[in-house]
Amino acid sequence: MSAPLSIEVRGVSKSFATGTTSWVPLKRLRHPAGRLSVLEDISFDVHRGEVFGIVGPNGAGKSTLLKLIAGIYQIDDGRIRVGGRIAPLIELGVGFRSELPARENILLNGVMMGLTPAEAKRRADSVIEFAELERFKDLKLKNYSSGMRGRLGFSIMTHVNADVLLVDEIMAVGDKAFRDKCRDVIAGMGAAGRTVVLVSHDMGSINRNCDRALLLHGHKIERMGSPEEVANGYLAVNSRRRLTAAVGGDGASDSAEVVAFGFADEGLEAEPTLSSRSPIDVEAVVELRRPLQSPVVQFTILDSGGRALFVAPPRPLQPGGDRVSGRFRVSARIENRLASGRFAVACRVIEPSIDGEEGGAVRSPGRWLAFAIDGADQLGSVISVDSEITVEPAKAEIDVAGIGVK
Amino acid sequence: MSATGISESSLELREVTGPSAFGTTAKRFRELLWLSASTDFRMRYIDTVLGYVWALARPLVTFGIIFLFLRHILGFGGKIPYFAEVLMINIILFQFFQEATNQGMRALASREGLVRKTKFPRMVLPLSTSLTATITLMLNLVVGFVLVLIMGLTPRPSWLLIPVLVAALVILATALSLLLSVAFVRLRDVAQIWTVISRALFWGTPILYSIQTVPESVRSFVMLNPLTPIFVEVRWALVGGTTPDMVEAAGSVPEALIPVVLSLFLCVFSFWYFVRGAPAVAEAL
Repeated sequence: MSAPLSIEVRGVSKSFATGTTSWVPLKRLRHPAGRLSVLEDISFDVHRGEVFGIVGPNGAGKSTLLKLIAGIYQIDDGRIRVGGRIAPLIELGVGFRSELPARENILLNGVMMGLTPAEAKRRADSVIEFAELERFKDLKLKNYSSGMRGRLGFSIMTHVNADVLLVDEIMAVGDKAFRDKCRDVIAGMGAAGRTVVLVSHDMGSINRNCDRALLLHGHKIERMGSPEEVANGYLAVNSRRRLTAAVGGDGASDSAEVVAFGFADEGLEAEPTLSSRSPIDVEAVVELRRPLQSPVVQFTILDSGGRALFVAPPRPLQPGGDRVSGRFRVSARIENRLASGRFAVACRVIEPSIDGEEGGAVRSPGRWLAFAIDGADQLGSVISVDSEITVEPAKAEIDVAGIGVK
Repeated sequence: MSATGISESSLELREVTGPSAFGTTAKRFRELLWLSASTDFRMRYIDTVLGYVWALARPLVTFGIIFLFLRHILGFGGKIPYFAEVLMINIILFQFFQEATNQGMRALASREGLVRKTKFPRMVLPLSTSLTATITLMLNLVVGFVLVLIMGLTPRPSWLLIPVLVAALVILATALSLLLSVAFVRLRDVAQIWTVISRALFWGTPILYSIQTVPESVRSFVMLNPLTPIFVEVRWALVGGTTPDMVEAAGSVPEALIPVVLSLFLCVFSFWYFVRGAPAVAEAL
């Protein structure tokens, strides 16, 4: 990129105080004060004229990062430099007073965004016109719909001469027509040499609006690049979260554990792409920390959303074993009938309950390995099985009734 | 919306400094302060049916009730010269103090959206509630003095001192608003604590009574109160004559200066506390 820098973020960290600030000693004991880390060592650049997106799951620190750039929060560590004037508002319609009509809110909000009162007054008509609210300009804001408020807020934002605009969840407001208008305006701002930073948890809005994006996950930058690259990263992050939720430790016992789990072919990378129909070979080491009653090991194939597609029949660790403990090495070969896509294989140890009740079973926390299947596009199929279809020209005299078609 | 208006030099990278009590320029601070205070004032009074009448009605009704109760039921105040006139002005002044500090205390917390979502000179918020209350006070004082004149108090040269005393009260109330607004964000119990303290201040300040009616045994407590010098001087300035001024009431100049020094200390401390606490307010809310 040849365009000069507009935002420079270097090694920025931020944490928040947690726990109570109460003076009551007992409360302090129960909720000890600590620091919750939200961002760790974040560095990136945004160039002038770029529309830059920040995505990530809830709680990833997107809004905090935006607030640090806007100067609303103090930076713990690191440095942020910004070129030009920042619109100091990161959400549309902040500070609107619902008891006042549109025009007065434009004045208030415009001044807050950095206009002088005279400038704000001069631009009020243009703001109302752009927001398509001429008919409602004397209506108090409390009688506005949320979409109308959003339109007004967005319109004000486009009328202040900020060089850098920071907007949180902008596309959460308004109907389709308004969102299209937003997109055009944001693209126009980038073209006019202004820098726009959008924050969203919705990859779609980042895809539609941004030139470049970064993915925040686990307090760090997980990926940065074109919206497509970031979208892939975001899918993987979401899939990891769902898989962990599906096979993770909820309600699990610590009496057994899958100590190691990997593909049998050690040459494979972390999330390998397997070819279609080649069997899935995995190896696991399980450890039983206390003697279990005829424990079994169970393998499951899941889709990227954590839904089980195939549950392999449980295999006893020691057939006929009554009180089993110690370490076991388990190998599994599972036939691969999967269509192209992203999947995972999971492993865990189960001690079936004696009377066969599901609730009485002891389960170890599961482990999973993600992989992708590369094959011809199979039109949304999940599994790939053989099929043979023949077609021949039909003659009128063929007995249609004979094959059940009327 | 065009790139031509953007000058290269203004786009140099500059360090982001984080939130502060004052923001960037004094002009912007003034614009925001005035806009915020005048909007508050208009919203409070112009859109209600009787508007500003409400702002005036509160101190006048309070005055009426207290006066009836003290003068005609308890028979108190007969020996205090111009009891009713001074009581009315005192109640207008104290009601201002109470309202300004109460609203100032919530200035940051009640505008949470602004504090958390915009970079905004934090001090604008408590100053603007204080300014709104001051505008109301000025209007109330105009009406109050008209009524006092009708009731028979004659203007004296010492009335010229009253604007100075009112200014001192406004400064003290504003300083307390700064202190309370940050303290309230950190600890919501401050609201309860302040209710108790301001009630104690109402009775511990020579508002209903004159300083010489206070027995020696408790006078030293009253004389420590930062509001006492203001109200003692207001009474003296209004009616003069045998009414003691602060020095006479305290006995000596150093003793009279104790509450004044206390007030000055309170103002400086409040200001320091706000400036120090303001940057972290958005995170504490």
